[in-house]
Amino acid sequence: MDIALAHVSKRYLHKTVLDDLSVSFRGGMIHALLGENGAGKSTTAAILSGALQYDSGEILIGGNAVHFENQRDAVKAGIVCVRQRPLLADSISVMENILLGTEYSSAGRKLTRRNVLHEAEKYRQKWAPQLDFRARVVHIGGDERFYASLIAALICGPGVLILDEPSALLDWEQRRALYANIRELAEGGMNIIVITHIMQEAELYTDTVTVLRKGKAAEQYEHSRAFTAEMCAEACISSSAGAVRTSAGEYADGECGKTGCASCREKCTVTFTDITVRPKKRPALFGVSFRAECGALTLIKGLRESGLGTLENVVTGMESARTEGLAAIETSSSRCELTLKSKKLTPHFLRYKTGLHTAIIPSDRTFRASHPNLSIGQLLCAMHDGMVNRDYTDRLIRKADVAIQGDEKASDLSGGMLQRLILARELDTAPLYIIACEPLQGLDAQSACSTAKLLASFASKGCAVLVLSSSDFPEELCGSVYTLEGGKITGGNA
Amino acid sequence: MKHTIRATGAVSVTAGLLFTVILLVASSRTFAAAGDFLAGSFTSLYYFGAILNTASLFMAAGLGDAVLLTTGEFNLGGEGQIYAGGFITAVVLSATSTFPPVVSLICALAAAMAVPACMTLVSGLLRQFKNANILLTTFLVSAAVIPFIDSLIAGPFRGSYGNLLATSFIREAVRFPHILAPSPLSAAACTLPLLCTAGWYFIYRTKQGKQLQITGISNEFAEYCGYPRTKILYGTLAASGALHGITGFIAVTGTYYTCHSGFYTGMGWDALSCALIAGSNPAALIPSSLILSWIFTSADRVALNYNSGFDISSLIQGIMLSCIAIQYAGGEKHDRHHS
Repeated sequence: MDIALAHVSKRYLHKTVLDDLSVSFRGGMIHALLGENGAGKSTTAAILSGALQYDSGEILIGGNAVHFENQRDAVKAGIVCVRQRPLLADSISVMENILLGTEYSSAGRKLTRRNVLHEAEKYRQKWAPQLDFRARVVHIGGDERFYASLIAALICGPGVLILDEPSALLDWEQRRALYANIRELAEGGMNIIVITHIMQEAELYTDTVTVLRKGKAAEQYEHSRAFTAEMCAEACISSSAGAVRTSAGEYADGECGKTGCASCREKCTVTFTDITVRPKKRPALFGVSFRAECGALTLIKGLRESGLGTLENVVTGMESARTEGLAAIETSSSRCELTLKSKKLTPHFLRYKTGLHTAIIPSDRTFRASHPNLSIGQLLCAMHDGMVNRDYTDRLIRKADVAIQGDEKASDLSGGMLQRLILARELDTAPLYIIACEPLQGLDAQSACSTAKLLASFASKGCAVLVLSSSDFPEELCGSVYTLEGGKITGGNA
Repeated sequence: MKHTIRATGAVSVTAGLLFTVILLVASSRTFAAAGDFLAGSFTSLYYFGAILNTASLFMAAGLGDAVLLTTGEFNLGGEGQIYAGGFITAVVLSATSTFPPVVSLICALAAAMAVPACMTLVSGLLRQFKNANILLTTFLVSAAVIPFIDSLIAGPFRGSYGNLLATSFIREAVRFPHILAPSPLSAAACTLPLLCTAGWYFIYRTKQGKQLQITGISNEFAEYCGYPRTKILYGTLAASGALHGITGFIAVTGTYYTCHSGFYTGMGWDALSCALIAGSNPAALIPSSLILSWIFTSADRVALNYNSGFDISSLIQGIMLSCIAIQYAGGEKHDRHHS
């Protein structure tokens, strides 16, 4: 099934997201849609899948203009999108969520429960054997949320499948398996559009590449081999007016005694010893010990199924399961030691009690570091003293260089814009200790590079920076590198 | 969201009014009952005062509901808490009858706030340690307390007059006077719009209020932000219980001058309707309480004057709550689609 957008524009109150965009995708191929954060990729996906109405232009399927009032219309026309941040009902099981989203197939016929169950099991075995259909969504990880949404999408039998940042929450092994399965679908005639920031992925796994820039199709490559990472990087760099700032000083506004002045700052070292936790339905950790030193960037790399998500919960104070082990926070003036069993290591403790103004950047930006129903003002001022403050909000928006207003909703943000705002909010407190989990997730190549340098810059100013990453974080910036595998940690030297 | 809330309130009230007018016209086959329903209460000093008095009680109890609604929880035990507040007021005023009136009133107010607050703290403990649903536990605690108080009123605390199932009347010195005789509007009722204004200021103009609002939007985000969630849980539950207790205190000291069996009936649900229509905004509680009080008082008046054979108030309330529920569900669905 061929699909195209012809002269499509989408404007919001304060910004134009798509500006006369024309782009086409042929059936039986995998198409990559690339672009910097805020380039309009997710908006394009939302318009194609009927989730968003456009202001002008048209959608063409097989050369015929169509109009979707809602997502159901798009599904009936054979277009299904798996969103970057799949919204599932937390309190019910994976299977119940799948049943909720699959009332109709792309042919417009109503699917019976029996059909859905049969199809779901078939796709589970092929795409995600580890996915437990009976598990409540609140207990599953981001990758499993993605697979649940993907299976629900596949059950509808789409002619066009749009995957918005499919590999953002997957490790390399899962990505390889995902693209192998996607290739099979494409060979069967399906038109697959993959939105991604990862240029290697586009180059390796897709047939065509379209680069969006400020809502317009900047470059289209009929053959992905013609597209090289260098070419895209060049295109992005030349277009990028303001990427993430790379200097800690720019975030701290030069307030003496905070980030700007290393000599009058506290120094801190955070040590975790013998972390052991066996949460239900999530990977366990066994005797994990590591140290995040001041003035250095400490990287813990691993996969989510190796326990990286569990470790994130422990170090950020969000782990609900009984945890053994010891956490010690040393500053130049004090030393605090607490057992993890006591459950005293909480975000409240890390942020307000230790005097470290800890910055916490979790891997779940959508529902932990933010929430779609929050206003941008609430999102940015949540930890600021007093009420939602317009001046403070505007200052952080300018600092993050995101085109949004304080009274808009967080749901209006693209993944990359949200990440920039979260970084701006967390780093504005002049932290002495930074916990960054998957900090490069959802960022384009240049922003990812800038963010890594920014974290290194904070480390060089005397902060203890702990990075948990399942993707390629530049190790040359790190003072210590640990590897988490099977719930156990090794390493410690750069 | 604010637009949704305003629309929800307007649609619910309009639906309730339309339903009542149609019902009255259909049942009496004349427009007299419907006309009396809409305007009759304003022609009588008694009914006008009754509207204001009932509205003030809705404001206090509605504020209790609104505080908890802001954090995303429901207090369905309002009636039991109002009853407990009223009962303990009558008991303390009786027990301190030898004390100076001001001391007696302060003791009664403190007790009226403390007992219902303790009732809600049971729900807090069950939530903290057993992850129990607050909506359910507040209702169950209330359901257990109501017959217990009924038995106390019928037994050891029963006053010694006639067949009235009530405690002794409180002494004259601790009664808030009726300021619009012959209506039951008491002087204490005048303070409640101020309480709503203070509630609005707290929720929309303080750091703690911001924390409550954000907790109501996302518990996980609130925890991540390092908000003191245990304090927020117990604080809002206690405030909710205490405000319902204040409602009972004002009902006894300002309206009935005794705690009679079942004086709370319907008050908790009516107040919850006010809070839902106001979108849990304490300032909007003032008009929503006045409107609902007018509707319910007028419905009772019409039922009395035109000898209606059905409980119009309950029917109106059912219609309005249904509208709120439908629109709330619609709003949630809309939000999900746009997220």
